[in-house]
Amino acid sequence: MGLYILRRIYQALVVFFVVTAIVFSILHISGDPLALLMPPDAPPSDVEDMRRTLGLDKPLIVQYGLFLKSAAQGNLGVSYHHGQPALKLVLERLPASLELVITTMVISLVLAMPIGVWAASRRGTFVDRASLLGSLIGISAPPFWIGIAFILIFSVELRWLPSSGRGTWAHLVLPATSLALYRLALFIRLIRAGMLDIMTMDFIRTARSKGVSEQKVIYKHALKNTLIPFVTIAGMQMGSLLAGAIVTEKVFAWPGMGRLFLESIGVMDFPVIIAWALVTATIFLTVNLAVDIVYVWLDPRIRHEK
Amino acid sequence: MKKISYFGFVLVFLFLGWSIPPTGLAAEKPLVVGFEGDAATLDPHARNETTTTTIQRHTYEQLISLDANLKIQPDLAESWKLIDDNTWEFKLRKGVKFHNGEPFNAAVAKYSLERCKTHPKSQYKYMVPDYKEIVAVDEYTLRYVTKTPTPELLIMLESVSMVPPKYFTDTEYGKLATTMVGTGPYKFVEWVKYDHITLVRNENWHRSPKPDFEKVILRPIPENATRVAALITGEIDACWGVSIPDIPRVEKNKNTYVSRCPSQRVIYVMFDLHSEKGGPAPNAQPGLPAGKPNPFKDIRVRKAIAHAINADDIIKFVMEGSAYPASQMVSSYATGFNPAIKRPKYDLALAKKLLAEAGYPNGFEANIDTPNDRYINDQQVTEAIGAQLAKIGLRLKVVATPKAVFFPKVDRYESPFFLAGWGTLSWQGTMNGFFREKKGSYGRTNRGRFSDPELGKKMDVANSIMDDAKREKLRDEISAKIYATYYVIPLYYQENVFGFSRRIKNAKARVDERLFAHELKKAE
Repeated sequence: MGLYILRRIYQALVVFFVVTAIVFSILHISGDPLALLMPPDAPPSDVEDMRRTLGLDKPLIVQYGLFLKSAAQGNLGVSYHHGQPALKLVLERLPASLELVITTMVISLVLAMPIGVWAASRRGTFVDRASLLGSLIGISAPPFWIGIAFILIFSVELRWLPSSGRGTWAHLVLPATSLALYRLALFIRLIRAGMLDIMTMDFIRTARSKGVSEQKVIYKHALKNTLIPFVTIAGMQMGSLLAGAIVTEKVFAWPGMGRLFLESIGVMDFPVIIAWALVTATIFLTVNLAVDIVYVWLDPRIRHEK
Repeated sequence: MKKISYFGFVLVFLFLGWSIPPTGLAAEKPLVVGFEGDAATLDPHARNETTTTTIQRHTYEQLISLDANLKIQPDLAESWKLIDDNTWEFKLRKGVKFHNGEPFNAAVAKYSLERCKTHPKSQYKYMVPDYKEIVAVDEYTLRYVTKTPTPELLIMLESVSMVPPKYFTDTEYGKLATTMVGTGPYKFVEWVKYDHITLVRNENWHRSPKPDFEKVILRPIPENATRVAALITGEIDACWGVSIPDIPRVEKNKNTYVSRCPSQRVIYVMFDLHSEKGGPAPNAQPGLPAGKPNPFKDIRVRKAIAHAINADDIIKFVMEGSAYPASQMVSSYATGFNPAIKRPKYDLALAKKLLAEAGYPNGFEANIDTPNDRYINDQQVTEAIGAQLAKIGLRLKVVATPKAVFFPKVDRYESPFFLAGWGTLSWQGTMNGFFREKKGSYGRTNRGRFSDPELGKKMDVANSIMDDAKREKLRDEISAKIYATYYVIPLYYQENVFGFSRRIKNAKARVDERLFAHELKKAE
């Protein structure tokens, strides 16, 4: 296991390097950040001054070399717009993003498991069809629209919950629920399909024939096996949510990483975008590693393979 | 059993969500103001952008400020006079202290001006006129000696914040850029980035009346619909930028109202006057069919377009009445506004005649570029222009891109015809930016490469005459010549629409898009 994690860390370094190279070249061919950084009425001489200050007057390859050098020392550069270290700006957003993502995942997992199992065990009944239809809506509705609709219903009309911002639990409910809707729908469908598949397998029939209670067949034997492919998808969802529930964070004025990324793209704040990309890559690599470890725990065959 | 515990957990979770009251029950409810974005930094000499500046100005002050009608008024400078064409003398306000106790005096003013001019992160360098020297004559007298006569010096200095030298030299930059220590109406309490800034009233403010609201919270809410929802629910008391479709909602709600006024931001279209023909950049114009000559070099074509764009219809139908016709690039609030310049009349017959004379009786093909995330309804307005110009035979392809793509593109001169916006109080800045060749401090927004060296010389004279009447006369003459070239066609001024709750009495939107908590009065 230790060796395995070590190998993963080595792979991570390669990923980091590739990510910086890709992001760096995409950004620098996409245009001149000075066009948006300096106020429209600033004279060209001031613009060129700022270009020199930021080191953007040097050839691209030199800029990349300098970036790698300071990145190796843990310095990802200073945001053009905020004048603050880019990595610090991104990491400052991480707690808000984590809070939102964990709540979202808890809501969707807690609801999806029983509903998915329930629908599968009553295949073809009203409950099953209702869950399918509901999840279809959940998957299809755009998050932007759901967010605005939630605000109109629960904040403006019913006055139950605040419309935006971060602070109390109440502030968390609307953004987390609107993000959870899609995941909930996706997870219900995955669990239902997985359960239906597993329930026809030999070991389920064996368990039933030796007299194991239906409850135990479903939860101990079937659900646990369904979870193996499910964990991968859930992990990926968690990663992408952390990187940025971009639209939802904007709609609910949630101070997370997604909003920072969106605003940085809009003004071409290169150091922040690169720092964001690296933090995101780290999150995905970590989640993948966690998923692999959970796999080993869920599936004894992997443990005994070696 | 398991199922029960699951649903039990869900119920508890939902109950938690409902049981916490959405708003606190504090004794004195703070004033909450919603902005479109957060401050980029709190260093007042760094990022130069409306939201950032507006937020900083609750704490930081300048020698001079602008009232709601953008007229110059004394602030930390009580009075000023010209000693000779290059020397300005300012008498500073006595007894003013920064929030950390440092005194404000001429040495502080000198330090602040010099820091603003020389700090590497400063985006305000051009707002500090080039100086031979700045002298603190005595504790409350400051002399500013410019390199060349600068009639617009006062408006320029309006942008330069006064900062406490001791705090600024002793504090590391990370802290400096995330806190504020000024002389202004509000003291800085905390900044939770991207969420809120908290301020409390400065009881020792040198101006009166003191602000009505004791505690102020500034919140960034980027989504227009959310910001308006927060206003309607009472989560915020004032907000910047109510979008056009939301205006009726705010007005219909009994606890809120809107205030509207023309902005100084003008929306215009501009032509490429430089490229000879269409083709790949940089030697030809990529927005025109390859090999075909550039029709916009012909003044008759530009004049035809000016007469074929129906700005009134655009204001009425695309902007839903939320805009005001414009005849020039500065607004009537600015110096150098020439009231004699009128908009070209909408006249299709004349436009067709002019096009035929220019050799395009059946029109021509070209691209028209526009940003789609910068100005209100920018893309829709450009599409309307495309449709209007189709009536005189122009076949325009509307190329709409995000601002991050659009501005670098027009800066590379790769658009033959485009729509953009402009807002400043400075005639000089407008002229030097739009109508001079790109060189030194000139020509940043001359994206169609207009060139008239004769006129340029006249501008230099007009920018350095200290006698008001003489200067205005020359400026009017230059403006009339400029707009007769139809190089730029100003269309309309945007509108600033601010929303307020009834907790605030008779609040008015400001022309300069700023929203100040200390200008808001309590109702009752």
